Amino acid sequence: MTFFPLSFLRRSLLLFCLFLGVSISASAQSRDDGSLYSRFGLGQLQQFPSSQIQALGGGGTALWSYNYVNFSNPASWSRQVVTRAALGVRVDGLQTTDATDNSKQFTAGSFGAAQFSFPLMSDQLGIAFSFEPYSRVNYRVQTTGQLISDPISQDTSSFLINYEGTGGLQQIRGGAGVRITNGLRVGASADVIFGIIEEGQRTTFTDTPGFAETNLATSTRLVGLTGTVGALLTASNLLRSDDDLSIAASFTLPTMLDGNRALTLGESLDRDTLGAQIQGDLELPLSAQLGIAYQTDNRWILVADALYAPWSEFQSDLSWPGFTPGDASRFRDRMRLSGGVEFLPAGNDQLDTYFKRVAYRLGFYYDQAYISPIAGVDINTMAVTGGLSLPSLYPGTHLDLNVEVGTRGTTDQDLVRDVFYGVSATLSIGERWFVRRKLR
Amino acid sequence: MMRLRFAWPLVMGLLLLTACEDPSNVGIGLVDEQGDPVVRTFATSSFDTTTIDDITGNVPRVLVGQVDDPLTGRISATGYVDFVSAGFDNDDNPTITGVSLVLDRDYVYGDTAAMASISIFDLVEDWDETAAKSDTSLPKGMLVTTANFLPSDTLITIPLPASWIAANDTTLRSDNFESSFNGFALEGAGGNAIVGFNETASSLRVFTSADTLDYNLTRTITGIARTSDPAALPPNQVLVQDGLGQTVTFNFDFDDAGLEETPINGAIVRLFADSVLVNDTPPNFVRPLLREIQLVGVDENGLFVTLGVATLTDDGSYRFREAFSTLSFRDVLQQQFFGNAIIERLELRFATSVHTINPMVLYDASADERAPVALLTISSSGR
Repeated sequence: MTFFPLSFLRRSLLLFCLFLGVSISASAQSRDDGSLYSRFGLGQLQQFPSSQIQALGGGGTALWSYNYVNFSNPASWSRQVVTRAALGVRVDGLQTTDATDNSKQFTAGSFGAAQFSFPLMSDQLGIAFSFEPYSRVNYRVQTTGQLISDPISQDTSSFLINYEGTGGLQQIRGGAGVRITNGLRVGASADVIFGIIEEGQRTTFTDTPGFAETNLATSTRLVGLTGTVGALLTASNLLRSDDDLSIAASFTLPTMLDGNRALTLGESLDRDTLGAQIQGDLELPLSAQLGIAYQTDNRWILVADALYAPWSEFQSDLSWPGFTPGDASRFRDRMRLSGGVEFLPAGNDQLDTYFKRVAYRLGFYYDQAYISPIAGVDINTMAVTGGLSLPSLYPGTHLDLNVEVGTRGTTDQDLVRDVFYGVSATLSIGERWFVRRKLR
Repeated sequence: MMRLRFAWPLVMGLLLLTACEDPSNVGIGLVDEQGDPVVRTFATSSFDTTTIDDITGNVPRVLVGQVDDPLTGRISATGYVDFVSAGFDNDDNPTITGVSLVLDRDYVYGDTAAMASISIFDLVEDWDETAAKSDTSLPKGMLVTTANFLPSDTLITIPLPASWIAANDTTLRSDNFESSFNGFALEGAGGNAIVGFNETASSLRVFTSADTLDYNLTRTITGIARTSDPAALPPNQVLVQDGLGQTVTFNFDFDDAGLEETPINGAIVRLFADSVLVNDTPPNFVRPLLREIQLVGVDENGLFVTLGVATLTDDGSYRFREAFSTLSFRDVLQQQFFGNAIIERLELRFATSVHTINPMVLYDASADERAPVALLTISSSGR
């Protein structure tokens, strides 16, 4: 029996897509132009189930598709017929405003997730891997001031302090989904969460000869292993022929991350580590997602999801912005509600006009953040999502263009309100590999 | 139908839509503001006088004379000088008609109105000026001559006697002049002033029937000795003086300050001087102030590194703030706060590029508001 890929060029593109995504998606964590709310806790939690689901509000626990691999529920990985890889890039814009209407704008680009999956048994058993962000810390804010650097001569010196945060956690996931019965599929993945979160305070004296810039940084390395289990129940032909109703749930298990924190002073390779490194653990809580999806004759998709994670139970030996060991008053349970709709005018007709074979998506979400700078003040995010899926010459390969616009936070109590937008493009390549040659 | 090849530029092109903007203070309230730098003042934990060996060899000025200073005591200076031949042309066998010692005076300490005397002695042995110290004393030969001069004169020309010229005629003509001639010792023989002669503008001038040659002054050492004690000073003051190596060594008390692992932006060391006292001189008596001093760090082996240079300010203090070269007091302190002590103590030292016996009176650690201080600007982390 001989197996060979159909297209060497496309396989090369697919592998290049994976390599590029895995090797540089961590660079998405190095930007420091983003929301100040990412300073708190472990940063802003990220998720990227698939480019389709991103445009449908970001939930999609119960959504399955032969054209996408859904990383919010490993049970859906059983529904694969082609090998698939996806790589996305994203541009985020942000306007932050305070109570006095002062505002600042940021724009940053980053790579999103890199995903790869393939069926072991078509539509029965599938494997999937992803390298995706778990959280992101990227903020930069500055303050200036003056002090009397020489009380004897009353010389004043002007200083500039940049508070910066970079990094975040990423996760590598790998697992499988399997069909138990026609209506029940389950799946599980092992998820390695790791990363470095850095916070720095850079103090510069701009007008005083002999004064040096200091960059005091806390660098915390975290690593841990968790797992996600999911189940997907599907019933067909309920309200009409060729419809599909799915109900699903997935649970990411609580886990302990090992932490190692160093305080450094200086720049880059000239950094000096101050004192001994601090070891500590932190406990990530359970995360539970429940979703429902209704698909009809391959034209309409409706999804709704809810996510709950009891972050108020967060524990850590290490302190974090907004948290000191034993005081989790600024942590709160996270709740995320989302929904979306997709319309594909052509349905299954591959010969229809191009724009009828484009999928049109619209969604929304509401996210109550797991941490707040001020105890008792919720930091809520509300956003509208949308997107287009542009088919290509190659069946199963398409370019998804998504957009997201929303607000986060409040200007009450000296907080800030973010108005953000995001534009992303994800290339998803799918083709059959390992086709058995038929000898004549 | 979208072709795949158009997708890659679009996907990657999005990454170009980025903008790095200067940060602002919007949202600063979300950040702990206890990170503003603060200035802390530290007193000395020790402050003592000491004597170091002042390097007087191979410096561009030689000191000669004797002075009795009511503030600093009686001091004598002997200068040792040597010359390099200008290249004597023996082709026409010219006659050496005269030799003069031409000395360019660029420094004076003492009574400028009273006549002074210099005695010139032959040096009988070769000598090495490299790293020679102020306690150097070379064996002298015969007295060549003694000359009188006014310390306020800027150019002193001393004709050498004919007997000396005759005795050294061959040496003066020789192609091996440098190895044959060992130079002179210049000693104060009278007066109440120590003068300094500029090496680059001083020479042994040889007059011949055909030419005038300047044998440039190239090597110097100054031997300096204090032969009587300086005046008693108030209890909270100490004397430092260039040339005699009279200086101070001190340390600051950082141990209990809780500054371990603290980032330091700036470090200023201030020492206060009583320039009024130093400027109080008898009539016609010039006592130049010690305008510039160096702050050095000394390790346990006695090796030192210059951490800063300060000049006397209008408010009568020396302020060390900037680095002398690549290492500053701030750098040293930062390493100390990391638990890596580079130096054991601090000392004041004197620049060897300008050779003087200039004094200054400093206030010591008991002087309350004018005691030495270190001012550290540190970044507090608010963590």
